[in-house]
Amino acid sequence: MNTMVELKDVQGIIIRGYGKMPFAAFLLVQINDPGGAKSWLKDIAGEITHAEADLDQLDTCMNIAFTNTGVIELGLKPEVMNTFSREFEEGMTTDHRRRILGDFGKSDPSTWDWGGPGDTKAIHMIVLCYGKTADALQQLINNQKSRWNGLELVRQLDTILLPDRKEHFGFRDGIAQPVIKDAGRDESGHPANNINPGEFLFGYKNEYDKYTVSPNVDPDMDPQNILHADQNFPDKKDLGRNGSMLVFRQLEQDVRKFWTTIDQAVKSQQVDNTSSTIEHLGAKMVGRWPSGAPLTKCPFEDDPSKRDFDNFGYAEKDYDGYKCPIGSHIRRTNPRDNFLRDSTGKPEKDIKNSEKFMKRFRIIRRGRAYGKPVSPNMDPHEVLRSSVEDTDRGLHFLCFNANIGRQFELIQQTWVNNPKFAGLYEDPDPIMGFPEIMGAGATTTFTEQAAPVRKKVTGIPQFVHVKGGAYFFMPGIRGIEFLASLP
Amino acid sequence: MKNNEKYIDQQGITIITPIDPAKDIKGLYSLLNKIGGDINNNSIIDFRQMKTIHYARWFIMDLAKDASGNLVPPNLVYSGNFDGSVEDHLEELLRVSGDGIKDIYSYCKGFPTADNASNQNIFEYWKAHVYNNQLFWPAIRGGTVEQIRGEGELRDAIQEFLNRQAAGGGFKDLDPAGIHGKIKDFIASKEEFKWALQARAKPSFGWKLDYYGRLVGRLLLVVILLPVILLFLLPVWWLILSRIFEKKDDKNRKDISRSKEFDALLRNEDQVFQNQLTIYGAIKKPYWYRLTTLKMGLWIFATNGKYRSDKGKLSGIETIHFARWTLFNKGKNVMFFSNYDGAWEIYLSEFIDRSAAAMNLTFGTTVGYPQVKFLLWKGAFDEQAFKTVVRNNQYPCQVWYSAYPYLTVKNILNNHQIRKGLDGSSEESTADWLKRF
Repeated sequence: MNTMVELKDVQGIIIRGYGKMPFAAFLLVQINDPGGAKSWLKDIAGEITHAEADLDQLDTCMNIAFTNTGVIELGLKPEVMNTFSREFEEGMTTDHRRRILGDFGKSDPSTWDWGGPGDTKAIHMIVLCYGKTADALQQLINNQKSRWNGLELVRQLDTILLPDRKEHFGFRDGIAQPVIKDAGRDESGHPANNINPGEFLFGYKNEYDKYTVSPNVDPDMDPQNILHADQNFPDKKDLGRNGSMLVFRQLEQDVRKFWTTIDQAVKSQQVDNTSSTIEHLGAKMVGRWPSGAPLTKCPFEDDPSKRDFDNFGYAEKDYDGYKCPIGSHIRRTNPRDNFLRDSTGKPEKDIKNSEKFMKRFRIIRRGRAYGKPVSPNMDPHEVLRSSVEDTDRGLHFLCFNANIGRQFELIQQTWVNNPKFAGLYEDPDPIMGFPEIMGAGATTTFTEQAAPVRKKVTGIPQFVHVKGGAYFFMPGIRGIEFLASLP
Repeated sequence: MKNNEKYIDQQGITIITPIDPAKDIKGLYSLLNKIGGDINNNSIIDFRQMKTIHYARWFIMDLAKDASGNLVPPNLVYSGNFDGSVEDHLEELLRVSGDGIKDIYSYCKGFPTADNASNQNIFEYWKAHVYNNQLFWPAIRGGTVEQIRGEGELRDAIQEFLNRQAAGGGFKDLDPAGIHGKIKDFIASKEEFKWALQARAKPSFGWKLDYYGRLVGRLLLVVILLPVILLFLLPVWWLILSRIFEKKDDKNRKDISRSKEFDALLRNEDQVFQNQLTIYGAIKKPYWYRLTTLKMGLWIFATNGKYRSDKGKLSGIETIHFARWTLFNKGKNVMFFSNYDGAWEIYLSEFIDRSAAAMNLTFGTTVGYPQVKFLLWKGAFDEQAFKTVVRNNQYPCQVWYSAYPYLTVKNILNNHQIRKGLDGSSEESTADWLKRF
């Protein structure tokens, strides 16, 4: 019998997407007075939405996470900070991490709206607010702000719910999510998609059958005995238990540039009669049709009835990428059974090994779009006709993982930005890869595997730029109570 | 000429030279950093002019310790992977950048003084400081630098040709054979790619005799020793001893949460698609047991690597260009060098996934390694503890050169198959060959 996840101590957004709460805003907060911050935290610890809350009974949800400077501000000492992961302690913008994430050019942290070295105010905390209605959301925000003492709103990041849960390029988003085991979720899907809770939460076994190293404190720092013993180091107390690491990246999307590039590529392919529609080429780059239907299942045309279909692999029916190209966005951010292509010479063994290996590189995505869409109905042809400027819209990308280096950063570096992914040559992710890793001025190539010979789209520019971001620690509810109790 | 005439083997060399305590080691750091900071265009070592070097590195091995905690005096380490003989390799280094070499080694004890620094004297100095490879593994057997680069250019030229043809509608209604014919015609029309229509030279009879002769020798050794091994139940005793010694090992899990600072490592990491790994380990006591275990382990992997893993994969890992193990400090320390594609994090994750037991048998003999059980189990299966110990034992490399930083092992293998489809030695169908583009 596995240990069940202590859902009442886990913040709700880690386990659930709050699909019933279409309205959301994220508040970036600076702590001016740690005492005031702690009294507010103590006050609202019981109001934080936990993972067992009955969302039908609630009009709003609220979750909280902290940056490294935030927990220092609340009183964590350097010896405790040393128990956090290097990624969290160093933050998102070190020189080496920029090379991992591809944050150069228009994504250079020095140009970020928030989270970069140019910030005049510190970001210590993020309050994630959700509401069933716009009014309920606004009330939640007003109510919380009115109780703030020594806290200052640095920036409010609003969100928008686009039709059919799409992102701005017009594709349904957030479909493939791992299922956290032992957390009361439906585990009847593909077993490769059921992931040990320790991949996302501290205090549980991960996919190496180990407890992910968690931030911890000496017992004498916890006189009220709020925290449990650390699973790795029993003489320490586990500050991380039931908590997770939140990666936040504000990604701006150049929607018109995206569809214009695709339109030109389709036109240039007309010469040899192999052209497709712009929807089809866009879908090949994404790996799913605008409705969400995967190309591996629906290679020729969109089928909205398959919009949430996720129980598929690549190795058996689409090994060569003729349906869903090998370098497409979803095939590289979640390679499923196809990572160890032709590795042992026995396809069945490769599939099994690949599925087992891939369990160690999953993230839970909780992003929301922001900014008005170029075209209200998300139709790419209308986008092409529009003259709206390509600014101020995109995705607030949020994801949860227990080990940022092995999960989020590995995906970003080894799969998204890597032009050599799966034997390719100059093909970073066509949607959001950073091509200049291949040298200044380099652009992305996208290979469409096809018979008798491949097609290529060359000179693809970047459509996605980072405008802000930070790594946050989202403690369990007890972890928040502990932070509020710090002297 | 792209390996067309003669089959050429790859080799690896390790030269460990003591740094003269009378010299300012900081000067050597700054000299090496100057080279490493501008690896392709610095005026000290002109790597781009050296036609036979695949990879080369220089680093200062400072503050290394043996298992008793004795400091190993600071050394300068050179490690290179190259085509052809050791003599030719060292000769090329001196011929192209002799002055720079002399600058670097002027910091080393015993290096011939300026009025004495004939090539012959330098060779002899180096050879006196060469350390044998316990294991040397090249991904692309027989692939010379010239061939790897040339086949890369060949592939790029065909890709551009294909793009042009597609844009002009040139492939309309053509079947695979027709497209293949057009590609071949295009290559035949290019003087600079004429070599590609001719197959790479095959190993000579003498080479094969040597290669398989050594395998027979290794197998004979096993056959001869087998009765002794079985009679005295040596494996059983070895395992029993392993438990006795392993239980004495430091459990060490306390350290898994955080490795020591490694900013110097990160400065050089992920500058191009390839990275290098340089790790040292202090072999644990009792030396006789651990060193024998390590040597046996490496002997098995070297045999396997040489005779079985000859298709670009070492223990199932497809991203290693060259790997090498070397013992030094009278067998009290060991070094591991590799040149690999992609990021450190996935590289280490693949090691754990595909060859944790091999890591345990070998690295498990060194200080700080997560506790191993029965030589093969536990150890590297403790992911975070394993990654931490690797970081803790990793040396920053001041100078690291790659002759083809933009080609992965997979790219190189694929490029070679493309060439084989042109030179007539390919065994795959034309339709399958076209998938390589």
